[in-house]
Amino acid sequence: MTSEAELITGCLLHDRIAQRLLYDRYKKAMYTLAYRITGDFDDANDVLQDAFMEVFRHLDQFRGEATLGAWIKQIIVRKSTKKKRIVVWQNVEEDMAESINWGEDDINVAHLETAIFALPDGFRTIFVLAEIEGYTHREIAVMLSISEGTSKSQLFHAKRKLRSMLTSG
Amino acid sequence: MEYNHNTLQKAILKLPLQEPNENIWEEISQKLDEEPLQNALKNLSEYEPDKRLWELIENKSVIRRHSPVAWWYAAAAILIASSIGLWMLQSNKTQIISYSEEIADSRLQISKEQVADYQYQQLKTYCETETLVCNNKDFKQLTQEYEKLRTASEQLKQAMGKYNTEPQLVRQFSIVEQEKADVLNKMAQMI
Repeated sequence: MTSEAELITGCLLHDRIAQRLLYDRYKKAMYTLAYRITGDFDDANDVLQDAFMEVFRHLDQFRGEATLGAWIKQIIVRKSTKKKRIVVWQNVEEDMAESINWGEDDINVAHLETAIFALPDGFRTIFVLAEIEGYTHREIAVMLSISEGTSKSQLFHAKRKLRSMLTSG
Repeated sequence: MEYNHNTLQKAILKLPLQEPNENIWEEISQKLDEEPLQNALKNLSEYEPDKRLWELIENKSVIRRHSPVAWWYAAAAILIASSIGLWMLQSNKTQIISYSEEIADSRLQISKEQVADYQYQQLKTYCETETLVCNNKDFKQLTQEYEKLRTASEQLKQAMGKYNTEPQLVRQFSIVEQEKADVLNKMAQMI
């Protein structure tokens, strides 16, 4: 098993085997993330390709402040939102008093996936980043150039819509 | 407020992962192979045209406005028109049939590029490396003279059209071509 540091060194030396290993290590997670944000396999293919080209070209700029995976994820998020021209609207009026109850019974995964892809692009992006990828609102705000408040309210509205789709479906 | 958030989280963990096609890596690999070429292409040197080029362009546009060839063309057109008019008048009076035969030198037949122009291009190519002679004042003057003659020749060619049946224009064209050849010879001698 090659360590991440060895992979990075190999990639910096343009070693094609190291590049392939790095790609194989992250391809599934990155492709899934790109697909969940774009909602389209062709777009996810383009994003993955562009993102890994950027990774190999600019790996020397990776400072190791976060994990390599987190660094690549940021590239994927940026490229995916750019590809779909996703705009997250800044909310003016907020009403997050309503409660959302997911119930105690298991949620049907297939229904959940269908419902996620049925969300508007902005809602889906925030939901994927916050709930699936585990980013904080502060991190999302920085990544998408929005306010933390907008990220919170978009997530609330995304969840409310999702819950309503799962109940009616 | 949100209740039973763990139910949602449990379902999220079961969401399927997607795997990209193998051809994605092949495309990435191909692009990586092309990287050195792409980087080299970005660093290709740029070339500055000779300062005289603008002068030539400027001269050409001046020639177009004031060229004596334009007057020759107009004169030739009037001559042709009056010849036809006279011939028609004559033909009404008598029924004499006459014909003439023009023999043109095959070397002066219009082709896309005249031999002299081709040789001139070779001289110009030579001048890109050999600047000492080519920057000589006399040489530059000959170059300008040649360019003027070439423009005149081009305009005559346009006036003659595809079939060059006007003897006057053909004669004029051959004179200009002869002058071009003379200038070119002088330039070649200097080199």
